[in-house]
Amino acid sequence: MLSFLTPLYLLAGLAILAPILAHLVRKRPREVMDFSSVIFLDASPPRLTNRNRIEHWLLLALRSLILLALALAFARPYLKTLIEQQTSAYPAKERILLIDTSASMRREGVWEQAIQKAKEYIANSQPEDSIAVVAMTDRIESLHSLEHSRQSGISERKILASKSIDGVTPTWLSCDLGQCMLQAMELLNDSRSDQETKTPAEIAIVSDFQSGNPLDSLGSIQWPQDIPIVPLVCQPKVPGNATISILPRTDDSSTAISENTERILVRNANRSKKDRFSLKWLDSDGKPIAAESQEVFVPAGQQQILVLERPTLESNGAQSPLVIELDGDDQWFDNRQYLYRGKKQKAKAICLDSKKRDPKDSLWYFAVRVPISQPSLDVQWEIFDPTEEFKESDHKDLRLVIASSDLSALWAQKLRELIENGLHVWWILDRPTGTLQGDQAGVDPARLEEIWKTWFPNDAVAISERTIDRFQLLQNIDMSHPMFSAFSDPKFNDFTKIRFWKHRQVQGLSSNDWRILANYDDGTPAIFQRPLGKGMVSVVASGWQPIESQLALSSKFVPIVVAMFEQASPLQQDPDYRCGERIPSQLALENWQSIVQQQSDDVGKELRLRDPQNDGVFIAPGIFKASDQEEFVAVNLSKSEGLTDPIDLEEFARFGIPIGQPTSPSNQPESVSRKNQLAEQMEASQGGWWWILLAVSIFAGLESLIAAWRTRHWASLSNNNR
Amino acid sequence: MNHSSLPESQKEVGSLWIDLKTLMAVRNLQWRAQKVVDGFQTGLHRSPKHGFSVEFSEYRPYCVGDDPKTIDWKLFARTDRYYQKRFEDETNRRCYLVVDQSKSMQFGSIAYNKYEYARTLAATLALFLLKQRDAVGAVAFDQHVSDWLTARFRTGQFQRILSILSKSCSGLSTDLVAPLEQIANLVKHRSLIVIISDFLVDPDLLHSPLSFLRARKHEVVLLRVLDPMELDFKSDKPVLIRDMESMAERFVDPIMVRESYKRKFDAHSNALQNVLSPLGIPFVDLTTTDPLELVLSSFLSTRQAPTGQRAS
Repeated sequence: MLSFLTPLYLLAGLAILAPILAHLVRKRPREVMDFSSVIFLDASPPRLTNRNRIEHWLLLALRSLILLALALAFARPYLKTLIEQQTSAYPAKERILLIDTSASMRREGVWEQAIQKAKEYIANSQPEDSIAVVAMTDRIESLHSLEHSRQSGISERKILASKSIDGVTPTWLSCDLGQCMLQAMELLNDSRSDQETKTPAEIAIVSDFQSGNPLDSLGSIQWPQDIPIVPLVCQPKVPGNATISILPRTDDSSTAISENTERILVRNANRSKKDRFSLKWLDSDGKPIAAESQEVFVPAGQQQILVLERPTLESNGAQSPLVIELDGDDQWFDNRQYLYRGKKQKAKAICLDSKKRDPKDSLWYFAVRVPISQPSLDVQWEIFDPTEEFKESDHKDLRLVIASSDLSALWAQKLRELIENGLHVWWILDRPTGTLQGDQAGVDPARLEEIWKTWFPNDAVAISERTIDRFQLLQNIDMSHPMFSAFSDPKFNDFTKIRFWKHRQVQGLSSNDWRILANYDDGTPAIFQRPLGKGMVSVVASGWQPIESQLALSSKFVPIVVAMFEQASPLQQDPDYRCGERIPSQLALENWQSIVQQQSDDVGKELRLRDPQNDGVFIAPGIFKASDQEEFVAVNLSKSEGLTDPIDLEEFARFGIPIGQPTSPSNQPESVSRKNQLAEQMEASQGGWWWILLAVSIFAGLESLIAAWRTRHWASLSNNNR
Repeated sequence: MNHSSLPESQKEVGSLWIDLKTLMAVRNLQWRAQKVVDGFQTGLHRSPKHGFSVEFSEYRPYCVGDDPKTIDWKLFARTDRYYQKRFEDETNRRCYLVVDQSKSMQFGSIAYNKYEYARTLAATLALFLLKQRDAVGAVAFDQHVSDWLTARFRTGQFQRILSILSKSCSGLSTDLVAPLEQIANLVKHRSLIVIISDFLVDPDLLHSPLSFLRARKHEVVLLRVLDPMELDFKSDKPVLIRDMESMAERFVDPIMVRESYKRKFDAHSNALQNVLSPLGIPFVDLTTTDPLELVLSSFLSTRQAPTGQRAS
């Protein structure tokens, strides 16, 4: 079968019209005829002669042949062979189109571009290809599966895929690009697992490729080299973006932050053209609380933390939710943060110690000076004398009891019940036992052992005073325990300055039951603890007051007491809910209603659950309230969504992922270019145009000869006529 | 009908007449005229229409109020009736042969041209009229009158006429207006004026001089001489046509222009006819292939026809 490499040149064959016309047009006669008058004559233009009047048929045929052959030679004809026909079939491709529907796609112009690029991609694919369309957030959601595409007719595939995009809108969720790519790759692998020769595959990603997208998960596997990705980058109309986030409250004492302040992080993208913004507080109705707003200057690519005083709004005696808004940014979608600081809870710590002694020699004097309050927990110290009565009302909110050697058996009995229900008790053996020098009487070890028996009846321990030469230090400290984990860093783990002048020795501890956190130099246990019911009993074999040791005066004392309390009452962070996060079980089944949301059209909608059984996640930012509860829930956009600077696509190459080019009408699919290559090779090997050129030169020679003969012939004829 | 051409039936029997080609091949104009007139007169006896004459004498009963001088008393003596005798002096009638010598007359697509035919015709007429004892004059003109010979009946008059007709065409264009006005001024007596030309001029221009001639009581006969090609413009290949008078050149493809030529030619003829009819001037179309005897015959029949020119 005859084919042409450059068939457009065949159009040049139309040039044969020129000689045909030239032959048809009659020449102006040379002879002049005298006539009586021309008044009855019209001048007539040179006209085409009739077809049967074409003169010089042979010359015309030769001239036409020359032009036709030239056009044919330029069109580079070649004969299609069987091999070429076999390779002409286009191998169908499996394509997965990932469409980013994360919140950052809400930026101006991005989503329109995304839809357009996705549709273009589908339109430019081959009809034989099967195309899956998948929405991508922090997970993938299939809109149109590969299987569905394969089962539909070839003519319908593109239409169905394109239709599945309609109605998709950006969500408020974040995007985990790496994870989604892996899942898409698995989809392709599953689809191709039963194929002997794997069909070509491709993953196209329509996204803004913001830098907040985590790609780390791509490093965990070897990406298959036969699946290239085609990035279709959507860019917003305005490149910059500023974002805010409320930093969590910490108990870090180094920052001078009071309870009524919030730390706001303002971050400006690299490409931003704006650097002046303002922050203002809004109430839950979206109205500004204060007239003035806080101005902030953040150059492009930088961030700044602002400490703002939180307005105290109360309604019905309860704290109201707040909104903080960033003004002056081009992109609105991440300019609001929702805040709800619930009521501060109250807690109590009791120090059981005799108040009769000199305060400097007593435990409580040092203990109550340690601030153990937490951001959401107001802790109060109370000092009880063991002789005082312990009322039921005192049990409330009790988290920690620090008891001295003065603890009475009655108290111990009362505490046992509380310990079993979760109370932590630190029993500090802060007084020497037995008979002391002079007339001073020590603590009776039998009483201590009796108390011990109250809590652990099966233990058979013997408590006695240890004789110390000069002082003892702590050793074998269990740095993995929460008590000491704060000191695990080599900078802080020097305990050699804490000297113990006196300490007790507890013998008969079962190492299975008791966890020893530290020993003294002489090997006797210094700090040890054992769970009892839900609670915990911890024993320190020495006091911390200066007559006993240097512990209370050391820099380690405050962290240790705080750690004691935190172990008893773990630190409660402010709840920080983000879109895409799982809804905690205590909120999951409630009927939530939004109070404030970013988009007006979302107001009033229920806090929807993606899957009511087990997959409930927050899907929109805002402030929500259950109809039957007083507390609010503030849900914010994922922090990563605000980081909108585009990533360098070379990042994918770093993970060894091949990057393909999008198919476009000008950029023919691989197979078409291969077909062209084959055609070129075949044409080159056949070399038909050389033969045609040879024919052209023969025709041209013949034409010249005939034309020359004719000219001479006419010349001789006209001479004869004269 | 004033406008006439030779009847086809007569043309068909053209072989009975002298072969024009042979006649024209002879240079002697007198011989040509002699031969035609002889042939015509021989044929005349065979013709069923004998007995006519250039002069038509007429007797009319006398009516009261007529001039008594016109009464033919001899006839009164014979018949005892009063008759008026008219055209008593017809034999002394004057005739002027006006021949166009412009360049366009030199055209001929056959062996001889229009002028050759025209002057042979003029010589024939001259000889024929002289034989009837009429006074004959000759006028040659192109854009103006170039030769003038007053009409006389005397010895050697025919030779003088021939000498004028023997001159070749020297003129450039046909301008009938000026020559006709000149003729009208020069011819004092009532005369028969025969104009032989191709009349390739604007017919409207002819109206005024011809009216002038008619107003001076002259009889006028127009003989239009045309080449056969001028009638139908039959040619097979395109040519560059050059006007013989104005020398204007025009490229013409006969196939394309034939129709329009015919249309324009007919329009011209009609226009000419429209000019002549009101004036009562007979008009004979001749082609150069028409036998001269027939032309002579046709001329005479024209003279016989009731044109109304006789009214004096």
